[in-house]
Amino acid sequence: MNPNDKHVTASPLICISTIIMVWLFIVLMMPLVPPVEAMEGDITPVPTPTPLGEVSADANCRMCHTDHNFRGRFENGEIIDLYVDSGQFDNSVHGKAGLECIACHPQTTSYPHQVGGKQIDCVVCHPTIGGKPEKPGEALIVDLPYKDARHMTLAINNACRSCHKEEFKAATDSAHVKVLKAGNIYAPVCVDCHGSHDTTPPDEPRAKISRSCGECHRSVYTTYRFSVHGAALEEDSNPDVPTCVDCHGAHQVRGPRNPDYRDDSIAICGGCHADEKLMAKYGISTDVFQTYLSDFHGRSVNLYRLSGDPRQASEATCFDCHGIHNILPPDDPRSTIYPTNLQSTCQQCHEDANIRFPDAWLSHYIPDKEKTPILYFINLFYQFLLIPGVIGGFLVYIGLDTRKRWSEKRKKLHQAVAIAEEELNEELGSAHDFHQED
Amino acid sequence: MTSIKKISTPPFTPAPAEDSIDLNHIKRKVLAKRIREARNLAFRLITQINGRRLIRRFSLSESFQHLTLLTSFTLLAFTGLLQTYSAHAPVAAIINFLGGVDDLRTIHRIAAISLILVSAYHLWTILDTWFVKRRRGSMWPRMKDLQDLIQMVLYNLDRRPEPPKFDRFSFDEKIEYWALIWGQIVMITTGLIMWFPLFITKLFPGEAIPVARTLHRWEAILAVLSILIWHMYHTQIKTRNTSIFTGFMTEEEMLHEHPLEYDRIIAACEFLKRVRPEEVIFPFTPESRTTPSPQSSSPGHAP
Repeated sequence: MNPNDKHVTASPLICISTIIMVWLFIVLMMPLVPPVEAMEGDITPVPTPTPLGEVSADANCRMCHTDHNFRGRFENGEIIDLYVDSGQFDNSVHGKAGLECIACHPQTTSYPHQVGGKQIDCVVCHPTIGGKPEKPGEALIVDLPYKDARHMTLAINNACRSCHKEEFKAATDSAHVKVLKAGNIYAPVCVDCHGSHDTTPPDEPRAKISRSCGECHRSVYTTYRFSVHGAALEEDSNPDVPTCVDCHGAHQVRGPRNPDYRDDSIAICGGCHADEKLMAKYGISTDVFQTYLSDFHGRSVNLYRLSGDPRQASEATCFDCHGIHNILPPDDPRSTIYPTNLQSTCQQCHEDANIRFPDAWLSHYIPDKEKTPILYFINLFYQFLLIPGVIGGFLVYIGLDTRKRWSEKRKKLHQAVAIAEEELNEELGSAHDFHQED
Repeated sequence: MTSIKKISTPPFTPAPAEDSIDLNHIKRKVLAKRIREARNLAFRLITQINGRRLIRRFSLSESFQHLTLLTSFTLLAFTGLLQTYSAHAPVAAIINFLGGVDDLRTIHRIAAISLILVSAYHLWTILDTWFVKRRRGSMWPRMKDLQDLIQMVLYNLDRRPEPPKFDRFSFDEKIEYWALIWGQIVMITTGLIMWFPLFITKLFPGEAIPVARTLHRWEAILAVLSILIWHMYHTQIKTRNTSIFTGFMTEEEMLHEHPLEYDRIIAACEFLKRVRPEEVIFPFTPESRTTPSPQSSSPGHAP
């Protein structure tokens, strides 16, 4: 036998063991390979925050970014102050959490920074050695790799995603992102509502939420500000009234012209107005939701909502009568549902509605003796007199009739059995009648 | 046995003077009326070729009215009650499965129109009965109906040996009919009020609409329960009565359910045979009944 043959015969074994080894290696190494999502280019791993008080890398940043004379020039020639209020940042949620500058500005890993892929030479800023610009008091202007301030905001805004993934994801279908994707770069991104270096909790105080929205939605905010909800929010810091986001959503904000928003709106209003505990605080009836649902408008809207086939123009929802941002109590003469305003409110849909037409709606009242005696007595009459009387009478009669029919049937059967026995006795003779002996 | 005696028509006399009373003239009128009535009854007895006899209980027009009413009532009740209880999630799911509340409303309104039309047609036939045929109509409640009800209850309580005998319409059918009439008036009125609220508020206060809504709902529940309990019991459970669809009842069914009417038909035939023996428009031979029933078996005799 050739000694080489030994190697030849051993080779399948080696092959198999090698394959197993490689397979094991791959399996064991799998958890160490970062998941695909994390490998995407624009998401950088979160840097470990440095606790406050220790000397951090931020000290480097603050060397320059605390100087008002440190400015940047955009590609369109606009000049921007690169000053960052470090005190304000330290008080922000991110400062308190100990995040470093590079947490949100991950591209500035080198110092001096690369600008547009080009490493800036130290002497661009510091022509002479000494750590200060050559001419004190004169602005130092660096070129920024962005078209303008808005494009810089949009670029840096992506950094929020590295920590706030859920919120980012929720916003992808929002009305704001749709506008942004449609090409309007001024559509709000994270920092427009939450702030950048001065990020504080969005609801401290609660009125801040609506004010943030009001930055852009001015006229809506002004209307809301004087509505029953807005006034309670601004003046009494009421913790229960809805702010903008309670109805419209925060990150996943839906446009009111979204077809399902219209039909869903009744659930939004009902969420609070059908909550007995919450409404008891303000002495508001929770019947409003049920009475609405049991009437023509509410029944239709609710069925459309449940059908998953939203209508653009369905029957009246809460806000069609009560107003949208201008909701006021019914005893306020400015309210759309103040008695003298009701006719024109109805006329929004029922063009020919006359002065009597609003009375067709019971104003969310369950029929009672004082307000709607006719309805109250009709209900009593049918519920406790007519229906139980008629149907009960029918049932009693039918019960008696059935009993009689069955007893007649039984009687006939017994008679037939008796005749049959008699005839059998005659045929067979009484000798076979052993019935009594048992 | 009554001997068959020909009754002659009173002799014709010229129209009487205004202030005198001509007995013959009155007699002629009365006899003509009786013959008319007898014919109406006798026409309803039909002998088939195999010798079985049927009694026409309902005309084609009445069968058609009932069928239209049956269809529209079922559709109305189904689509209406679903809407009434749509606040419950399973009901809402059924509505949306069936195509949504809009389709349901369309069906409800189409059925409502056919119900209104058939009601109008029925009203027309009533007017025809009163003013053209000059008959009272057999649905009017009579004292006998109350007596029948009491006797029936007593019979059911074993206080009477025999149940009462009914004429053309028994008291339970009359209850059914008048309940239906009442229900139709309420349902059509309140339904139209809800259908045209803008027009109604031009004439009546706005409260008319919630009142109509409430009445419509309660009356619908009452009507459906009545049909399911009273009507179904009497026509399907107690006896399986299909005469409204076929138009006919067999002799046995007639004798069992409407013996008085049956007797009237037979009497009318006999009367006609005596008064108008030359009219052989009806294949009538009361003696040759093929299936004599135990209740009213009469010994036959040669004609």
